[in-house]
Amino acid sequence: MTSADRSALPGLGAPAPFAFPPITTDTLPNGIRLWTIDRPRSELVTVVLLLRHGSAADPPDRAGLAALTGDLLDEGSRERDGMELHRALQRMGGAFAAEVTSDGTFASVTALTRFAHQAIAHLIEVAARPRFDPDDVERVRDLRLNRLAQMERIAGSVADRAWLAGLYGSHPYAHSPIGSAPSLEGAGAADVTAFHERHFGAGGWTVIVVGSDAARLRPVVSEQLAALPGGGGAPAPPPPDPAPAARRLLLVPRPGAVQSEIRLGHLGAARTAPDHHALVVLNMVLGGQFVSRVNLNLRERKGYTYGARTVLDLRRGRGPFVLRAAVETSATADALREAAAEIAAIRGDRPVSDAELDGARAALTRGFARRFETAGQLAAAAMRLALFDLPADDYTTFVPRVAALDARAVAGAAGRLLQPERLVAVVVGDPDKLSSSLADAGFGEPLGP
Amino acid sequence: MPGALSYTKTTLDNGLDVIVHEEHACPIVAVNLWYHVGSKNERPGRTGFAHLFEHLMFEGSEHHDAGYFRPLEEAGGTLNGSTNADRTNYWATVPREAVERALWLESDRMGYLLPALSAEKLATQRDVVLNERRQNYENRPYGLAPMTLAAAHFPLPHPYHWPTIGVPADLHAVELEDVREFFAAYYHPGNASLAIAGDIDTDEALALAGRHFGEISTRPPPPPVAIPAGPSPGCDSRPRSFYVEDRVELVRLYFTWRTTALFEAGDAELDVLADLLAGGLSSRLRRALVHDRRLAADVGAWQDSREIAGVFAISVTVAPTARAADVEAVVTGELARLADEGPDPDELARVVRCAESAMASLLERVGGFGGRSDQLNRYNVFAGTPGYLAGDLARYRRVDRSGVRAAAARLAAECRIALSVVPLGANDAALPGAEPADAS
Repeated sequence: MTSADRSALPGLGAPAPFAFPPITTDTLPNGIRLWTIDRPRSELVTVVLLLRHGSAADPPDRAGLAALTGDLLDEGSRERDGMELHRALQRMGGAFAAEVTSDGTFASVTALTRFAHQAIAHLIEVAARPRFDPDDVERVRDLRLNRLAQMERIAGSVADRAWLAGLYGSHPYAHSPIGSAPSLEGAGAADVTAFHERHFGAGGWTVIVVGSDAARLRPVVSEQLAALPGGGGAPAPPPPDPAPAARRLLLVPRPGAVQSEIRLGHLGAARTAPDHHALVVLNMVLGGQFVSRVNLNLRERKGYTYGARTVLDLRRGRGPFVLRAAVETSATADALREAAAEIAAIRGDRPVSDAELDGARAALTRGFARRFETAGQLAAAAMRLALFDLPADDYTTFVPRVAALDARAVAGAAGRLLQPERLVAVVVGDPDKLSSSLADAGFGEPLGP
Repeated sequence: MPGALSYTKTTLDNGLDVIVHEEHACPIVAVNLWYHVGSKNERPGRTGFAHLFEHLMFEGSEHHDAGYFRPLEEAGGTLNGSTNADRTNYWATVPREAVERALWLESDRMGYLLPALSAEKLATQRDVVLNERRQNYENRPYGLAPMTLAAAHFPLPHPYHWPTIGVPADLHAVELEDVREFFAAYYHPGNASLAIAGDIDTDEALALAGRHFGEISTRPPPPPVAIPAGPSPGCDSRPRSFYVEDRVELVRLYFTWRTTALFEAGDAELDVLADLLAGGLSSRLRRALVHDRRLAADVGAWQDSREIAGVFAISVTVAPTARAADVEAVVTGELARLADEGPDPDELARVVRCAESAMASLLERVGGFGGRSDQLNRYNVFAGTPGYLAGDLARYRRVDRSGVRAAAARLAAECRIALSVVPLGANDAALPGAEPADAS
């Protein structure tokens, strides 16, 4: 047997063709959108219900209400209590999940394929007819309050929340879905019931089913969904932009911490921004993958951190753009300077090079197929189309659109996205070891939280 | 259910096991390589080494003396590695057209790592690992609990005594010569298992594996791991209870027992017992502690079975107004009830079905941690055949009520090690009688 030629890395050749599987769409008379995707020979079926209302729809004095409502769905329906619901799920080899983001509520049941009918009925039962027993509401609320108290001890959570609040002020995106203790403490069954009545109307539902033999499931699902009363649930409009923030640094004390949690960023872009694809390529080069500028600098060259990333948090309105890293305490000011310099350089004197552009485009286009391997990944992909009102061919056009981007397009996106003069930084770390050096990090005197 | 995964296995002349699994649903291929070496192959004073070495494996080899992420990320791939007490794994999931590149790189670092090794790479990756330790253990609430418990369950010279991430002083002491010796002893074809899974024909995969790995010469088998003889530590003395102070908001209690190794008799029963106790809303401890009596904010239970021993653990995060002793009484009571009555037949059947769907969920993917290629290697290395999936699932289907009763009875009777993690200065919130522990 001949050995490998080690004089050069093997080339790649033409990309293997991949087509996003077709989504069969239907709108029922009561307004429910039913989307199905066939995944042949799937052992599991995933059913997802999307509502286009999330924590941005929390009443101003009830931050955390949307997430509390989602958390309570599986605690009891009109027909069965939480224990019986859970036992029914287990009999399907199933799991229920409710996730709430700023713009959406996602409730899902995943189960063994042979229990597909029961999985769909289960999801409808908990989403349309939750019990919201006052005793359950109080108990789950208290568990979330405990969780909030614990999060105060997790440096990364403290940093995330302080940074969001610093950037967004009183905007609907300023709070994490879990909300805050003062607002949750007052929440009760009446709040949850009112939120459900206002936002869970079946007319606003999108139901996505991914599994094997999806075509045979359609009529059954359709019949169950069509029996629900329509009405309600028009999607919330994306919130307007918040007032622009000025460049500054907030220091949140964590005495004795051996690392500093750093957040650095500003307003990002909405998912529907016209230059979306260029922004995604830009972020890949800057901080979106292991070989990004930020990670290679802070981790691989300096060893300051286990990893550094930038995230474009894409939402219906303008979500955040943020760099995240946990760095050794003594390297905090240096890491901040380096990170801010990378953000400034890629829109200034070190724009994305041809080699970087090639690499990021290839990573995204050749890496496209593996994002759609599992039933859960396919369901999440369909959900994004529904949440952001994207064109039906969004996944078909992604690869050609990214492949067609040139350096000018990416430089343009960098000029529009990145605003070094508006960077808001948060450091959660040991104040005794940090305060003197942070004043020289390029953000002025650090401010209190 | 995925009763079995089809595969072809061959062993190259140099001793490398090659396993191929075809799955053409998505045009991607997983390349997964296990080395049968972990932190249990280290020795005191030189801990953290297997894991630090894993980092160095991404930093370049003789024919590609540069980072391993760029050529694979730019090929549309994703890649990672991990180290535990027993094994180190490396994987890349790539589009079909990049499989040869992935195998070229994987084989280059197996055959030709040392010429590209440098003191600079070692120094940088040591700093990265020290930051990994700070991020995941030292600066994380409850982060030091697992290593505190391992140290208590496995007194020296047991090789599960020290944490895989290592002791900082040992990491600082590492020298290049240590790296070279480690590579020579453990990183060779006879101590490795390669799985290729996905959109590739078996013949092509076997040919590619042979062409890239066949030239690498093998070395003597690694020295055996010395397993201390004698009774299970902790069970020849009174039960022990420790506490540590940490920057936490709520007290967390760990109730732990030294148990069986992976795939040994009784291992599956302990897995099932863990789910009966804490798997979801209707499980016994969650219901009693979180739902009915509101003594706890969270409950977990797991059987952590490793190659030569295991630990069964129950963790309870105590509600702000509750007392540790009341939680302990409920835990002890529920264990005694299961030992006495056993689970309801329906309750047992439900939990076993969830174990099956959990496996189906892992097997949706060809690559990554826990995906098909990783499972084939796991079975090959720890069970002696890649085809053990059916046997593994059968273990759970065979679990009956009397087996669960016996498992619970064993925990109720045998010596237990308890750990209370309490807020700074709040050692009165620990379990009664707890003594201070040494957190390394």
